[in-house]
Amino acid sequence: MSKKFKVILAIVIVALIASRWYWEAQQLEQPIIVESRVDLDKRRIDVSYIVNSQDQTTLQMVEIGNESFYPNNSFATFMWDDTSAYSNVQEYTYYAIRHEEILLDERQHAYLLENKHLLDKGIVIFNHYSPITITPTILNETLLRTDYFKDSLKVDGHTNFRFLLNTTTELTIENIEVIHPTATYQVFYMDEVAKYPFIMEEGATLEIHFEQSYAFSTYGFLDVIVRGTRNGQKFEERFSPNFHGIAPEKAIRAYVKEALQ
Amino acid sequence: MKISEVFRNTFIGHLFIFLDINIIGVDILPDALGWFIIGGAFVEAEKVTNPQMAKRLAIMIGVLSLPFTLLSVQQMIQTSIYVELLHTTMLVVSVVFYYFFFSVCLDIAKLYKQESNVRQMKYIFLPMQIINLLSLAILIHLPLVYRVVGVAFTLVGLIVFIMFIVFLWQMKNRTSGPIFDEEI
Repeated sequence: MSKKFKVILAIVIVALIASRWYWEAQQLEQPIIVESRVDLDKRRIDVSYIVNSQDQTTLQMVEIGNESFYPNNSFATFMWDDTSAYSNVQEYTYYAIRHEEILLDERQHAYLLENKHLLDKGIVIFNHYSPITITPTILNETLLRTDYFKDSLKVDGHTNFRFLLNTTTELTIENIEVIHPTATYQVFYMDEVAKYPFIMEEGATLEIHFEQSYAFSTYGFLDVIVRGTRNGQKFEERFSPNFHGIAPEKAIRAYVKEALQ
Repeated sequence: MKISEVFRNTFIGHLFIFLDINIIGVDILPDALGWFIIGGAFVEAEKVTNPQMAKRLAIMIGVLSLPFTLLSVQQMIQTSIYVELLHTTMLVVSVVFYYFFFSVCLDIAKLYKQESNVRQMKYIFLPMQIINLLSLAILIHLPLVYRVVGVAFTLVGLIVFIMFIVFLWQMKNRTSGPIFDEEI
């Protein structure tokens, strides 16, 4: 073998080993629960979790107290080459994020209403991993104790964004701008802009949906500017929505890193 | 002397490797058999050159590819990291094989004054194999890039393979006559 060929071959082999090692280093030993919420008003339980990319793991059930709750759409959780087909899956380079929703029937709803004390602990059972204990957020009880502009960004599928803005004080919101930082200067206004100025009462949650392109949801992150009046004073708050449900690749990796520490 | 049989059998062996005709989930042209045919093809070449390394490597790849006879590579890779390791090893060994294969080809081609054809093919096919192997290391981390580059790779790979197959067939025809030196 010529020396040149040997060198090339050595470089390729080292690259293959390094690549594989790096890939392995990114892999999760078990899913990370990003968010679990029990919404008694809307009669549903939502669970979002991160698994390794192309991992076919699905959530089998959630146990709260003596009751088992089964996802409504667990069959539609994996399709490696066309994840946009399902709104509850998002595949990234190393990780995938799944959302499972469990709609409560009359009996289950009544059970949880009667046993609210059980809601602070649940168990998520996956098909390939050990059960994971969760502390669900009880949505209709958390509003009053959230901080001002406790922000949350959700991406449902590739095109739907949802913001939750909670407040503990009364505000008048004049407008909300959503800025895509990788664009030179791009401001996205929600459909609801016509409603502004909007009076947001103490303890209220403003939930805003809007749609953007695939590229928008995949690349970059979002900044949000909220302008309005609080106690007669004008304010302008800028924030980057925290990772509460789903976010682009970079944010997911940062989240995973933090969760594993 | 039937030197042309080296190329004829190598041609047939490559058809087994590259064609996947599945009937009830079983490849009726198994890769392993293709590699064994290629390994056997070098028997005739022993008369004019030393093809031992290429022969051993072809048989080695044939043995390594035996597990893939019943299941597709994609199915197997998803089952275990060891299978993936086996597949990658097979690809690395095949790159080394093609290096020695072209050495054998060159030795034969010298007898028929066909070196330029072999060199030309070598400088197209071998780098393609190396790039293909290197892409395994890079593109796994760049899925979005892979979506674009992967299609280009597949197309270029197909073209290069067709060129390679045509090359083998042409070499079979060009080496079917008497050796150039003997003719003189």
